[in-house]
Amino acid sequence: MTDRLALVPERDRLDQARQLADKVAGNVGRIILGKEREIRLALTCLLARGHLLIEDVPGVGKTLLARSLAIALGLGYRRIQFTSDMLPADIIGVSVFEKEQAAFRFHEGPLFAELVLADEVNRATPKAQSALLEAMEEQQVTADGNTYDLPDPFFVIATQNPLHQIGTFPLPESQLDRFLMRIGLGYPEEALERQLLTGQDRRDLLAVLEPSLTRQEIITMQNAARHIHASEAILDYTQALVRFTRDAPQIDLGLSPRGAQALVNAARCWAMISGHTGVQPEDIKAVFTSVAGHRLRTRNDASHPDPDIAAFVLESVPVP
Amino acid sequence: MIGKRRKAVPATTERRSETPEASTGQIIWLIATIAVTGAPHALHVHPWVSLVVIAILTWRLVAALKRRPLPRPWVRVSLTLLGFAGVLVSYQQLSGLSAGAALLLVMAAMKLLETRGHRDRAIVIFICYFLLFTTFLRAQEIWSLAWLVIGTVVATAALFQVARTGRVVPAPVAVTQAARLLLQALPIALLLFLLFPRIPGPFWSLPRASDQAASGLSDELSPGDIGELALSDKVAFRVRFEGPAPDPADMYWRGPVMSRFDGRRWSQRQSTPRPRAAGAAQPDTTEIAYELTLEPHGNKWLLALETPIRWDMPGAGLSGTDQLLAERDIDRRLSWRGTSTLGGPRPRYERPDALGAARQVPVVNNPRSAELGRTLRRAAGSDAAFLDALLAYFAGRDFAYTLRPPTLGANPVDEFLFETRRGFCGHYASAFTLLARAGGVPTRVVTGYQGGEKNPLGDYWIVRQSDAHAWSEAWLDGRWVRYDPTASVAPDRIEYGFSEAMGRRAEITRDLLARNPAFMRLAMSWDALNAGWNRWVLGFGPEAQSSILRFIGFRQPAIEHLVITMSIAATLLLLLIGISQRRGARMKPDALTAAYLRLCRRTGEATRARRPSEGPGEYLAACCAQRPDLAAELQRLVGLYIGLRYDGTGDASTRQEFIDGVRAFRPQRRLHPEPKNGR
Repeated sequence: MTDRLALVPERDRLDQARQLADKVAGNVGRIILGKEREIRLALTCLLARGHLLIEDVPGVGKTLLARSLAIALGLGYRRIQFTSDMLPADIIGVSVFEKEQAAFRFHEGPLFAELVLADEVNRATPKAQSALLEAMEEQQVTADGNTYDLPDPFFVIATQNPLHQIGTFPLPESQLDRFLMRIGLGYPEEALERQLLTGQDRRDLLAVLEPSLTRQEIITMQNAARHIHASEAILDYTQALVRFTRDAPQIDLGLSPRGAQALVNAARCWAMISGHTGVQPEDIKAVFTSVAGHRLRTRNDASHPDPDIAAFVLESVPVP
Repeated sequence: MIGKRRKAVPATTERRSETPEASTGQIIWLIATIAVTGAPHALHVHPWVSLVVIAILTWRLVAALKRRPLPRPWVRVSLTLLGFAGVLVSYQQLSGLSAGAALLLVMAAMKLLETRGHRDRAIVIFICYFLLFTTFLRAQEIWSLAWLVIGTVVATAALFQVARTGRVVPAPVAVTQAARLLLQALPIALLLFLLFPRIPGPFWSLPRASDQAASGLSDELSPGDIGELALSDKVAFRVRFEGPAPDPADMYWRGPVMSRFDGRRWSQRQSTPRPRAAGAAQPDTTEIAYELTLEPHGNKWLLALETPIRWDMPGAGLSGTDQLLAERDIDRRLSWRGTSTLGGPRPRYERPDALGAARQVPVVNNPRSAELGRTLRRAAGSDAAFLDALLAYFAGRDFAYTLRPPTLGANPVDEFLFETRRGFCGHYASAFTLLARAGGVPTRVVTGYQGGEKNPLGDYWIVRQSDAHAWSEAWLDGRWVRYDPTASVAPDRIEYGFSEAMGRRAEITRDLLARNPAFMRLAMSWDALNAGWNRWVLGFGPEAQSSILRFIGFRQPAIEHLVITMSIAATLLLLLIGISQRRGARMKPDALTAAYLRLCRRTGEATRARRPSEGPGEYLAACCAQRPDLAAELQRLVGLYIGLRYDGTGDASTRQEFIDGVRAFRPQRRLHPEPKNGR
């Protein structure tokens, strides 16, 4: 595989990165109609080596998005359907005694894939959830005393139903924090929904979807994103936002330092796929709602974060 | 770093964690503060007080340097009691200026032996502040202001130091900090000085210390007194004329009038003078208005220019002998405004007993003088001719003017007139008056000052104790007429003032000054400074406050107006300070940000204002959609800005390009595009 990104000047590399991102977004956008922004956010999350939580009602295309992303990015894809009777071994794998070798052999679970779709993650018990979340954090799993590395890149897209549904175990804040971003998809627009109804089945379209990126290109882009310039001004702005979330009376729990770090990293990647040389305030604002939304806890309702609070923060903090 | 800090705290056995012992640096600051603020008192208190203070300061310094523990409580208590008793024994009291200052000094030093907590150290400094203010009770000269400034800065710096936990900062840092704090407080202090309601009259009457004998004119005159006065170079008062100054030869500043003569000594009549209003002035004489600033002399004399007709001192009035007197003794510097005429008083009624007293000739001594007076009166045709003959008598004989006359015996006037013939104004006035009385003309001796010295720098006149003078007044045609026999002897004396005519300057340092114009200028500048200090600072009282209020617009100023004005001004001032502090605290935008903000402002005028939370890209997009004609230029400028600000790619030239571009960018001058229909 040729590396289209290595050894090119920065400016060109940025252009390339933007073109590649456009290509992925375009390809996926043909399947998930009218959700270009969400697709780009998902891509940003991947490039920032973070994991994505998609929270929405069933049937808006969460799984479809994950699958099409996997194909477009050329990544190996596994899906885990979480249920309430699930055990950690169902996720990470199990050691089985094999008679021929007279030894235990580790059978890798569905987690051993580059892109894992953890469907309806809040249906599982906390025990199963934590197995997944530990793996996400460490990028490795431990079974029977042996440690097994997960592939690189390793990207988890978890979907969860809104919490007021019956039979769900909401993820605690500490575990929500593991997800770099949380996005919602929402219903499609009228015209696009009509297009959806008249057109081909989306599943069939998946079959013809071609990979737009190689695995190596993803890693190169991930590395390149780290070198996107974050100026003093942008760090000032980030800190002003973080400080506001900590000081604002409406917000019970502000952004943690990890949250601030995540914000800057995500903004770097967003800047890269937008073709910016340095992080601009718009890049921060673009990712802020996704990155910070699930980390902020409002005063009025601790269990259910207010989706507008992130917008409120953005509107309240002046751009320096 | 932390280890070092811990070391700085001396490891005394008594140390408690919640009240850390002062560091050595802090103790040195405290000692320095006591030394500086106590120094002006050192000369005035008993020597043992100074010695005790120095001893305690030294002890404390050594203890701090060598990390010795402080004395035990019972030692401290007994030392304190001893100091208390010492002051009581030495001064017989605990209140009063001297005793109070001594007590404060001793106790401030003693408090140094007890410096465990921050509170103890702060108390030492507050005592020092108080010590500083007591300096003003002793002397209100301009140098005490310098001392006050130095002392306040040192004490504030020390307060800053002892408030720190751990090490002290270097002295220049602390002093700068203190000076800055005090400068910030200066506007408020100035405001309070100007507008805080003053109580008319002396706020408290200070017992004068015995070593401050007020020198000035005397209640009595026996020739010889004024000669001593004349040697004094002290300022008696200063005068500012509100018009052209009169001829120095016409400046007679009236003091006590002596009518009683026992043959040797002149004194004032014992009748209690009832102050009365001014007599009518001579018509067709010019009025001279002036402001006179008196040095305190302990009497009621206002020393008005002859002849006073109006004055602004409430309660003041003319005595029976036409001397302008204040209501109470002048114990502090006092300014008053008056108007006088030079033509002398109009004829008026004089009480017979006063005239009788002015004719009395003692029979016990000076027989030859009395005889001479009678002889001369018989020779003259009228009283006026007789008095002129007396003046001619002094001019015709070989009378000489000297400051060192021979001492006179039992018949002083006889001896002066017929033997020594050497004397100064006192001798001449005394002899003239006695001769006139012997001739039957009511005559009296007037003492006061004559002439003065103009300060070319300050446009005012200085009258010194060396300008003290004595002359005579005779009752002629129903009014008192001034006769100055000294003038017949030495006319120069009257023309130029006492000191200049006498050539006695070699005796005084002013001789040096006179010969050297630069020195003279310096001396005059210093006096002008002092006069300004007296007039504008020490003399600032209720009258000046009323004039400020009148200036502001109150017709009839009252204390309430003062309080209201002060409150409003103080509120405004504090608001102003607060606002300026907020401004200073806010981050100053650099040139790049300033240019960007200007760009946003100008674009905002043409399209819509940028919301504070809007980034440059967002705003650009919004503006371009609204004004496509500006898009190209805006995109170029915002692109430059983003490059400089966020991408870290720009250099000085692109920075300048951006700033220049913004300067040239005038969107509102272009025509607005016609809004298309349907949009």
